[in-house]
Amino acid sequence: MYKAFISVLRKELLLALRQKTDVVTVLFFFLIVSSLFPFAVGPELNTLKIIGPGVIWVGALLCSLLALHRVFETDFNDGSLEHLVLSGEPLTVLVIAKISAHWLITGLPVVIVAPFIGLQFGLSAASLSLLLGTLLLGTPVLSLVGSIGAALTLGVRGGTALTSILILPFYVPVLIFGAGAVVADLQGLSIDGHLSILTAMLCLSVALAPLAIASAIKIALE
Amino acid sequence: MLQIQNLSFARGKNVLFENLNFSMTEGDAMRVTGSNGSGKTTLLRIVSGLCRPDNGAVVWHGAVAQKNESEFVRSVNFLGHDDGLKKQLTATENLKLMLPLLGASPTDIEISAALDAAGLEAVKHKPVMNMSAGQKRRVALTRLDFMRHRVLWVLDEPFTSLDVSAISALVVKLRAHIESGGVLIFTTHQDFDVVPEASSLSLD
Repeated sequence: MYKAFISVLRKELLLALRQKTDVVTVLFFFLIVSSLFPFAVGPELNTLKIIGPGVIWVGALLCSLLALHRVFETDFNDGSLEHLVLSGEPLTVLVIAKISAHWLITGLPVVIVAPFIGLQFGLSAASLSLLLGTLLLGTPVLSLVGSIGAALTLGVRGGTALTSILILPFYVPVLIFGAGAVVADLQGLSIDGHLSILTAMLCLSVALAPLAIASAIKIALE
Repeated sequence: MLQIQNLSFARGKNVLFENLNFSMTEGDAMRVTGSNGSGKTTLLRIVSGLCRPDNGAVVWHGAVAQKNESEFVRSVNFLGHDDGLKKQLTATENLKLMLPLLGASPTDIEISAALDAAGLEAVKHKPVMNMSAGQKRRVALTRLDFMRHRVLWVLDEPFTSLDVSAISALVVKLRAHIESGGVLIFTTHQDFDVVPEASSLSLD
């Protein structure tokens, strides 16, 4: 099982390495979206501080959405998804490997770059580290929940748009509690509740999303 | 070994097959024939566990395959219309990363030798996207060399895009599998009897 997990992860990372433009495009998109806001809103520091976490979180959310179609679609189209299902290894484990790769390729770069973007919004070191923490908790949830939508729309014409419509309502709570934690901290309020809910979302999606995705893949292949 | 019991499948109102029964044992081969859209691919996907029938069951070694799915699929080697290759990776990388998932762990030397034997020596380190359809099919079929531990081979149009020499090489592999006690089900539109020892099932 461990070998299968590593094998899928290696394959996905190697593919990302061969398609560097896809990875760079997502990161570039994040940089552009979050860097344009200070120009549009103006240099008022207090305003920037308040909107900064939200802008960065929306950027991270859109980046996750932008790359979702790649999680299973190419495997579905080239026949390799059939081999995953017929491998005899637990499909949930292989699904986790694919989502881990998706997060490493699209989520982690955003998490790494986010504190630098945060500087443009005048966020303090404490706010930046909190932002980093919430992104580390929240972006895997985006990948996991988003992958459910990607699996449900496999083989459907216009699947990318449909995935967005299906998934966005489930992204909103992550956005609210992710960005809300940083804003609450700026306002001197407690952030324990925000972080607890984000952690609970992560635990729930790690436990349930792979099962839902595995079932959706099997249905898509029928 | 393999029993197909009262298998029925319909797409909407179009009944592809109804109450289909056959059984196969060690060393048996079956060629599934039929016109386009007659249900050949669907039958093969049901036999391999990718698709569920409307009625009936696939029985493998006395147990219903759907109820013992993970055990059953470890006996199946399925090759569909699509080659299952990643176009950005080379033939060598594709096999190296795919085979461990399917329970085979060949060395780099073994993979290289198998690709050489398939006539892919000159292109084995090039991305699959730069290969012709026939070469891609050869890469996909090279997997068969390492899949002898999976007894039930289900091959959908394996001869598509292949030239005469590649067809001959594939026939040798298929016969070797049958002679070693394997079970083979395949579809083909080739006019001649590629595997003469295979029985025939028509879905027309």
